[in-house]
Amino acid sequence: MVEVDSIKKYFVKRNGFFTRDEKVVKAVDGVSFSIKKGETFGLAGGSGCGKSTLAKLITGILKPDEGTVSLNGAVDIVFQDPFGSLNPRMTIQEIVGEALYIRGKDKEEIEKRVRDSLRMVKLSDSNTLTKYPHQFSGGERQRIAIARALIHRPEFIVLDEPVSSLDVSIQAGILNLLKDLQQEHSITYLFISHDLRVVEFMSDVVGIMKEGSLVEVASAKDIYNSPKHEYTRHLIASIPTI
Amino acid sequence: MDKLLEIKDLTVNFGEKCVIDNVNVSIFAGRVTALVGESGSGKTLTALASLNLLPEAALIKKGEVLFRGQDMLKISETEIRKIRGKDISMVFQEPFTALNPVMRVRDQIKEMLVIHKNIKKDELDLRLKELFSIVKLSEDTGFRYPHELSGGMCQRVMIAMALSCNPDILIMDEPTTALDVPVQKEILDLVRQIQEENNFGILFITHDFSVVNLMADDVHVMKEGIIVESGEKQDVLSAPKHEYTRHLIDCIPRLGDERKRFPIQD
Amino acid sequence: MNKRIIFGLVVILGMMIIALFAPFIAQQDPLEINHDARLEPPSINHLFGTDNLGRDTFSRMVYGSRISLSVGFIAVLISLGIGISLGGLSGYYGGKVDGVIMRLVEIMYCFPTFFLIMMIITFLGPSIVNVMIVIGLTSWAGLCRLVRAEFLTLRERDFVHSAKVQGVSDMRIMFRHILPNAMAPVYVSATLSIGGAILIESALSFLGLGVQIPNPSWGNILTSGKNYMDYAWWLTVFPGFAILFTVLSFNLIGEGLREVLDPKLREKRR
Repeated sequence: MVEVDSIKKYFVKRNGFFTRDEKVVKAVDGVSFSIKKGETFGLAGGSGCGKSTLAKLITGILKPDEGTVSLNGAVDIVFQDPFGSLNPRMTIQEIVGEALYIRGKDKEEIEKRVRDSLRMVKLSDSNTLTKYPHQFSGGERQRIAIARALIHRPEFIVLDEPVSSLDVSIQAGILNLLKDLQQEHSITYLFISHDLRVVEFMSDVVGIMKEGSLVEVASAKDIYNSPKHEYTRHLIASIPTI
Repeated sequence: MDKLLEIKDLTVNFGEKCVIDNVNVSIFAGRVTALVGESGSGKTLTALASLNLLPEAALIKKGEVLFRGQDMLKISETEIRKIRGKDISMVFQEPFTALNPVMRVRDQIKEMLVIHKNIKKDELDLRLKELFSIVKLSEDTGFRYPHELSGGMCQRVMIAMALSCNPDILIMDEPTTALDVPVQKEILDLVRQIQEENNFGILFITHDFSVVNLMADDVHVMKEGIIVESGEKQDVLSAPKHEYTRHLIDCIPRLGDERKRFPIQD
Repeated sequence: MNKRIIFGLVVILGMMIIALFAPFIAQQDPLEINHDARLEPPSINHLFGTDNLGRDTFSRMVYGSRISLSVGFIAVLISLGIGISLGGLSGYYGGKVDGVIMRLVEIMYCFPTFFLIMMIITFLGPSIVNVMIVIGLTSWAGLCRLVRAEFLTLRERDFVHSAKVQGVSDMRIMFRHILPNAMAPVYVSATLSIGGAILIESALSFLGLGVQIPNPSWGNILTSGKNYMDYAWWLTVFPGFAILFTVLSFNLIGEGLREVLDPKLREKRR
């Protein structure tokens, strides 16, 4: 379904006004993995490990320096910050329906499918369509972002920290929703988070990322029961127990 | 137990809407009092009330905030400014926005010391050195700007600033929500360790019961301005009495979780 | 609402009404020469007095407001068109496109604008249409930089990324997603530029490079008045104040808009 083959992305960072002090940041440094149809590949790692860059490479927002990404079908993405990922000057109807609008679908079909999409994410208040993003809470906005991703029925969705800026109780609702949607529509997910608990809960296979590379890839059970890499063990040890 | 601050029957309105409803919370020396609730539950407002920092639109209907025998809600702005940052200090959620981007972090801590303490130059350097070692940052870090530091390092700087005048009470408003899980643990462990050595009281605000488990001694669960359950951490976590507490605990993801879904309703 | 905006809007709306209904408001034909009534001081018959040819200053100024306002608005519209398109392209695409456009902006900044305008007008011949176009063509550089800066930050926002992933075209991303979010500072800057354009037009007309006599404009009323300043103060004071108040009002609206639209300033006021 999804094949990522040794992709690399380096950034050049300049320091100082007068000196040519250049530093190459290896944001993604040769990452390969594949995801089976209808499964979730979870990606865990600390901030700055390159996981968000990887999400942008896979969805084509950034072009890789080396390596290839092959997708079998349409892809969409849900970002971490539901305040930044929805255009503040567009209505929910316009935001969710845009993918259809630009493909020349007629007005009735767009409205019908927008309503369907919103119903799928359990936001079906009748006047949702004409409201603007700031009229919704963080959790609701994230549902809108998911509805937007669902509208053109993609086979594959990249979820880049979709719950990291939400309260735990809202987070739980969104995670349940994502699982339900996957079951009903057999969507493939790439689920990215800094929180190994959430990644493990969502995923079939988990990859641990550090400094631009995958240091360990294993099934969700194995990552927890028999972590091999030192960094994986460090991540597990830091999780608050309850 | 040494009671440092007591919020008594506090009721605050925003217009007609009651946002804090008859809240009672106490902060004790050497203990962490956690206020747990979702966003909009009034937990941050309660903390702001204890520093008399409520927004102008807020109307205090009832209650008092007792600190050293004074009602914080009644004393003058000049008096309270002496207390803020010195006797009671605060650490916020977003370390990046709370720090001045064009000032070296060392100078920002220095400013706190200069404002609240008439401190001599050689003492100042000594104190700065001490503060950096308390929050386990190398002294070189002080000469850098906030954007050159990671989120965790910035939060350590914020903690150093908050501790600079040896406060009696530290208010922490979701101090680790913006941080990665491993960094979160480091910061929380650090705070508890410093507290053991200095015996100040902490009011800890969070939405995450797994953090409560790591940090708190006493817990108040807040929902829509009302404290629905209070107690010692062990009791609340092992046998939550209120349905809402149960719900919040259920929402926490666990490693090796056997659950396929979270047991909540949409 | 903001007091400055209200003050500015009242003055400007008043001016617009005067300009629109000039024939009804003016007491006389602004071109009518009356040798019997030369340099008369303000009176009921001649509210703002008469000039050296006995023409009614009030009527001339009423018609002159048409010139000032239309030059202000049209010149700024031209510079908005150029500034937004070039700035948008520059900020959105970056790289070589940005390099070329920014060099162009720097070249524009190198010329002392007013002398450039004077040169071109002398070359093309003075006319009010030429003045509008030339002011527009020479005053877009600041707007261009402003729009570029907005586009540079907005193109990295997640809602733009999301649109890209969904296959939205670059044109639509620029105009539907980025531009509406970039407009706040543009409104402010454009309002301030209207005042600037009016000032340039007055100066050009004063120098004889704008509106040609006998047609009236605030600038050339001033010119004809300057020779009689000692004993016919009304010929310089009234057009002078008209220019002052109009430009001031546009600046107040601009400042007010900045305060209302800029979230940083808004927080500071709280």
